[in-house]
Amino acid sequence: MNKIKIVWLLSFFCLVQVSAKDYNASLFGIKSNGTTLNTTSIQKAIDYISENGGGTLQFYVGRYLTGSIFLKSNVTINLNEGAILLGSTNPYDYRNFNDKIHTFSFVSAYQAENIGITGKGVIDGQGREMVYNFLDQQHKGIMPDLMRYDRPGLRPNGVYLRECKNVTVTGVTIKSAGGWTFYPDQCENMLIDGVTVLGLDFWNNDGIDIVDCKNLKLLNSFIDAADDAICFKSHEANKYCENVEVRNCVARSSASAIKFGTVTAGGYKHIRIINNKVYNTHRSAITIAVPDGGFVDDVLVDSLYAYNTSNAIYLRIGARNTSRPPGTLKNITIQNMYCEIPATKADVNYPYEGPVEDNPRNISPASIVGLAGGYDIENVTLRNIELVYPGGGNVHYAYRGLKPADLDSIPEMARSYPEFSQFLELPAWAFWVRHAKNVTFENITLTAKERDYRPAIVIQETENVTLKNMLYKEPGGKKKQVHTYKTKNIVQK
Amino acid sequence: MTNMIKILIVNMILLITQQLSAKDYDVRDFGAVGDGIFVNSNIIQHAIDYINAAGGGRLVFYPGTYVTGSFYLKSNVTLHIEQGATLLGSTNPWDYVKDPHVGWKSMIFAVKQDNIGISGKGIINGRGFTTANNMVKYIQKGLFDDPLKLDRPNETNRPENIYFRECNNVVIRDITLKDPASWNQTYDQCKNLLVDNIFVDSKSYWNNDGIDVVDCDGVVIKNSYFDTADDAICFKSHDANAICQNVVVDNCTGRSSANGLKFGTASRGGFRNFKITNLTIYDTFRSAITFAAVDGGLIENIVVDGLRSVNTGNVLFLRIGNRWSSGKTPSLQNVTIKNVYAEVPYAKPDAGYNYEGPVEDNPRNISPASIIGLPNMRIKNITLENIEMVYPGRSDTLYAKVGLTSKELDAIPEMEKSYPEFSQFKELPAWGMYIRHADDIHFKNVTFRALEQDYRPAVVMDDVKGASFRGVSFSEPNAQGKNQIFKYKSSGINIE
Amino acid sequence: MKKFFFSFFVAICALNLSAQTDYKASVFGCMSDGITLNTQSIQTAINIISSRGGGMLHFYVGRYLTGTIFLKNNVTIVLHEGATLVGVPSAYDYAGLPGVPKGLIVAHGQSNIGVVGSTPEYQTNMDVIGNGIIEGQGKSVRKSIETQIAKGYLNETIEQASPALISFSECTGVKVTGLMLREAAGDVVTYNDCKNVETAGLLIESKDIAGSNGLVFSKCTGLNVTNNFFNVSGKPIKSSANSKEVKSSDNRTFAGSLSKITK
Repeated sequence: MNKIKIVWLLSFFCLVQVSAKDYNASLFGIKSNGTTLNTTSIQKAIDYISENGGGTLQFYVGRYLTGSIFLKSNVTINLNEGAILLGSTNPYDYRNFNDKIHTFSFVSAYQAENIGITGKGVIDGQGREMVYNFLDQQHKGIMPDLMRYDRPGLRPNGVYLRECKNVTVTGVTIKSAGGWTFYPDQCENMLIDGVTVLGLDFWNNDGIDIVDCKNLKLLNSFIDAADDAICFKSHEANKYCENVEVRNCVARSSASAIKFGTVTAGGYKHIRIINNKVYNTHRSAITIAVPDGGFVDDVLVDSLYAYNTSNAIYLRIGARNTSRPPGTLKNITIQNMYCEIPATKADVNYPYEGPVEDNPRNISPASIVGLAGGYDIENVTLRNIELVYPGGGNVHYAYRGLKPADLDSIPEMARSYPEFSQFLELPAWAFWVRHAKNVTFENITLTAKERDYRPAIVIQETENVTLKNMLYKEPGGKKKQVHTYKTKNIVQK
Repeated sequence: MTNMIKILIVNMILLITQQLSAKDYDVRDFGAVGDGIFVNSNIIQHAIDYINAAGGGRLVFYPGTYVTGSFYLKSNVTLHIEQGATLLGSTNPWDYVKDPHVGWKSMIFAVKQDNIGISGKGIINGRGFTTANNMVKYIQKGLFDDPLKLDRPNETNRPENIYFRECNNVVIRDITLKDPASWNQTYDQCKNLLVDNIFVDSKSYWNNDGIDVVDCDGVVIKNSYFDTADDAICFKSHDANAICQNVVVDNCTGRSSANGLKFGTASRGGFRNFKITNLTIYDTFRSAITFAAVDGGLIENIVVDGLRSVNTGNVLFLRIGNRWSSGKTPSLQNVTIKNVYAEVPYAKPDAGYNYEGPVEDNPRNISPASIIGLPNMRIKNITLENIEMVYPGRSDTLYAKVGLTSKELDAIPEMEKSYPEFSQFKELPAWGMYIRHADDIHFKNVTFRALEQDYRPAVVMDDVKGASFRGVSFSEPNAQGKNQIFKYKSSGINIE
Repeated sequence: MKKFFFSFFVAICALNLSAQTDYKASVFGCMSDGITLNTQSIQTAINIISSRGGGMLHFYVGRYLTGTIFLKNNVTIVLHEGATLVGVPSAYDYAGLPGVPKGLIVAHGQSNIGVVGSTPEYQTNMDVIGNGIIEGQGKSVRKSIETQIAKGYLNETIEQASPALISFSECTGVKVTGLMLREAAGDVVTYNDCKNVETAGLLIESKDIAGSNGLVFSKCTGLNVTNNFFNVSGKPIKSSANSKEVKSSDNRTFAGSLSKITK
C-alpha cells in the first residue's frame, strides 16, 4: 500500500519536473570561475524560480563558489557533468535557515516540497580548509565553541534537507562537508538513487544520515566516510524513521558501515537493508544501537557482504539518557550475510583513520547486548551467516574466562557510548549474547583461522535460544564452542 | 666600464661550463616524495649535504610536486628542477627557519657557499599567501612575537623563496619563481651572480619583490621576466661599508605594482657601474626606473640604454634624500639614460592585478619624471638622450594646482627624511620633467608629448646649475607659443 | 590588540586548567589527518610550552604524522585515547643528539618530562592501559634506512640510523605511562643515565623488525617498571649496566609473566 503511494507520488513528481522550465545559471549572473562568490546570485536564482512556478536551475561545467544556499519548493538544481558547486572556505559564509534550527549547512532546504538535486556534477564543501578556518576563529575566541576532542563542534554539513516532501537526489557526488555529508531530516517521500557520497575530509564526516524520515529509498549509491557511512538516527522522541529501504549500496567507513544511532530519541520501524556491500571498515558492518530510550522494531538485513571489516554485527541497548527508561530493540532478522574480519586494522591509510581504542583486547566477537533489569533485546533471527575470524586470542595479552566471576564482571556500561569494542576483552571469539530473549541461530558457519583461547559463542543471561545447523572451524583439537551461563531454554539442533 | 662588463660576461660563461660537468643525483633516490603533501625538507637537506661532501653535482627534481620548508644549499651543488617539477613551499610557517646570520626566513638558503645554482624549467612556488596568513593566525594567538605592523607580519618573519648571502659564483637560470610570502629572491653580498632566463610571477602578498640584489659585486641579469606586486628588479645596499657594483641588466621585462627597476630603498653603501640595456616595463604602478640615494650611499656611473616603458605611472625618478645617512653624504652622479620610449597613462596602470599598488599622495595630476636632489646634496651630471615621453596631459587645476610663482615653487617641500617615491611631493608644476637641486643636466634629442592640454609647462627647473637642451621638442594640443621650459633660481641653462 | 588575543588564548587554555597549563595541539597547527607532517608544529608547541614554564600538550583522537621531536623541561605529551603519533617513514626525518641515540621522541638533560596516555571520558573506574598510541611504522622506516645505506647516501649503520620510539638520556623525572607503543624501527624505549623514571601501563608491540627490544636502559637510578605488556621481536627488557633502585612488577608477554628485573 505504502509502496504504491510512493511510486505514484514519485512519478507525479517526475511529470511536474519534466514540464518545468530550465534556467541556466548564467542568467542570474552566476560565475563559473571558481573565485567569484555566488551565494547571493544562486539564492536569487532559486527564489526567482520558486516564485515563478518552479523549474530547474542548470549548472554546466565550471566551478561555482558559494556559501550557504537554500533550496525552495518546486526547484531542482541540476549539476551537469563537470559542474561543481564549491563551498566557500570562509566560516562566515555559512548560516542557518532560520533561528529555530541551529544546524547549518552548505546546501539546505526547510519545509520545501518537490525539490531535487540531480545530474552528474559535484557538491564539494571544501570541508577541510573550511574547518581549519573555523578552528582558527575559535582558537582566537572570535567564534565561541566548546571544541570537543580539540575539534570544532560548530561545523556546516554538506546537504541538509529538513521537513521536506517529495525529494529527489540522483546522480550527483556530494563530498567534503565540514560535518555530516548528506543529512535528510524529517523528510517524507524521498528518493536517493545513484549518488556518490564522500566524507573523508574531517572528523564526524558521516556519509548519509537518515533522521526521522518516512518513505525513503536509498538505492545504487556509493558511500565512503570517515565516520559512519549509512546512518539512521532519531533526534526527537515523538518522531521516528519508518519505511526506509537501502538497496544495492556499497559502504566504506572508518566507523560503522551501516548504523542505527547513536542518537535514538524516537526510533526506527520497518527498515529494509537489502543486498549491500561493506569493505575496509574500522568498526561494525552493521550496528543497531538504542542508547537513548527509543525503539527499534522490524528490521530486515538481507544479503549483506562485508570484507575486511573489524566487526560483523553489534546490537545494543544502552541507557545514556537517565531521564527515560531504556529503549527496546526487537524483531531483527539478519540473513544471508558474509563477513571477513581482519587481524589488523581495516582502514589503514584512509584519511581520518578510525582511532585504535579499548585496548588491550583480542579480536572482538559480534555481539548482542541488552541491559540487566529486563531490558532484553528480543526476537533476533540470524540465518545463513558465515563469519571468518583471524582467531589467535592470547590470554596474556587480554583475558576473559568462562568462570561465573569472569562473566559476571563484564561491566554493563549502560551509560557508555555504544561501540562493539567498549567492553574490552570478551569471552567468545565469534558471538557474545547477553540480556536477550528469543534468539535464533540457524545455518551459521564460524571460522577462526588460528586457535583462540575462547569458545566461538558465549551466551549469558538470556532466554530462549535456538542453535540450529551450526558449523565451527578452528585449528587444533576439538573444543566446546558454545558456552552458556545463566541462560534458560537453549535448543541445540 | 665596457671592458669591465666584458670581463664579467666571460667570467659568467666560465661559471656555467664549470657547473655543467658535475654529477646528477635524483632527489627521489634520497626518499623525496613528489606528492604535493609530504614535507621533504630533511630529505633535501641530507641530499645537499651528501652531494656537497661527495664533491658536488646537481640535485635533480624530476616531474612531481615536492613540498618543503627551509633548507640550505651548499658549495658546488646546483638544484636542478626539471620542467614539470615544482618545489612547493610548505604553508606551515613553523617549517621555515630564520637564519641567525641573515636575519630573514627563506625556503632556500645559502650562506657563505661557492659555486652554487638553481636551474631547470621547473617551478619554485612559495605559496606565500597561505603561509603569510597562517603566520598571522599564530601571531594573533600570541604564539609568535610580531608587532603586526600594517596588519601583516614583518617581512623578515615571512619566508622568501631564495636567500643567498656571501656566496661566490652563483647561477640562477631557466626557473620559474612564484608567490613567496615576502621578497622573492635576495642575493646579499654575493660575488659573480648570473641570473638568466628566469620567469618570476609573484603577486601573492605584500613586499613581493621580483629580485633583490644587495651589495653584490659582478652581476648579470638577463633574458628574464618579472611580474610582481612590489618592485620588479631591485638593487639595494644594506651595508654602509659595502656597495652594489659591476652590474649588467640586459633584455629583461618587468611589471610591478611598485617600481620597474629600482635602486634602493635601502641605499647605505651605494650603487656603481651599472649597465641596463633593453629593458621593458609595462602596467607598472610607480616608476619604470627609480634611482634613490636616500641613506648616505652613492649612485654613480650608470648607463640605461634602451628602455620601453608602457602603461607605467612614471618614467624616471632620480632622488637624493637624507633618511638614514648617519653622517655620510649621499650622492647621485654620472648617469646616462638613452633610447627611451615611455607612455604614461591617465588611469591606474596596474588596475586589476593582485595586490594592486596603493593610491596615495592625492590630490595630484599626473606626475612628471623627476630629478630631485636636496639644496646641499645635489644630483650631478645626468644625460638624457634620444627619449620620447608621452603623457596624457588633462590636468585639472580645480583638482590640484601648483603654479609657477616663486611662492608656489618654494612651497614644494624638500621631504629629505621621507620614503622616496615619485608621487611624494603631490602636485608638481611640470607635466613632463621636474628638476630641482641639480647640476649639469643634459637633454639631447628629447621629445615631450602631451596627448591633451595641461596647465603646466613641460619642464620646470628649480635651482639647477648648468643644463643643456639640444634637439628638445614639445607637443601639446592648443599650446602654440606656450613656454614649455620654465627656469627658476637656475643658471647656466643652454637651450638650442 | 595582540594582548587581547593573547589573553583570550590563555583563557582558552585555562579552561582545562589542572595543576599545569594545558595546551591543545590544534592551537599550534598540528593536523590530525594522518598525512600532514607535523614535526615542526609539535616542536614549536614544545618549545613554547617549555619556555612558558611547562605544561601538558594534549593530542586528541587522530593520527599525527611526525619525525623526531625533542622533549624539553616540564613538558608532558598527553595522547588521549584514539590519538596516535605516527612516525614518518623517512630515514632523514629522525635525529638524535650527541651521545643520544635517534628516536621519535628524544630528550637529553631535561627534567620533569613525560609521554602519557589518558583514560577516555566514557570509561570510568576501570584500570585501562595502553591508550594513546605511538606508531613507529618500523618496517617502512627501516626500509627507507636500508635503501639509503645501500645507495651509499646514508653513512651510518642500520642500528645508528634506526630510531627508537622514545630515547631519553640524562633526564630526571620521566613518566612514560598508559600508552600503546607499536612497531619501532629500532628499540622501543631507551633510557640512558636517567633518574626517577616511571614506565607503566604500556602495551608494547614491536615485531615487524627483528631484534626490536622493548625497554632498554643503562646507568639509571630509580626506575619503576610496572604493568607492561611486551610483544617484541627482541628482548622485552634489556638492561646493560649499572642501574640502581630498579623496581618491577606485573610485566607480561604472550608467553606469560616476566620474571623480576634484577639490578
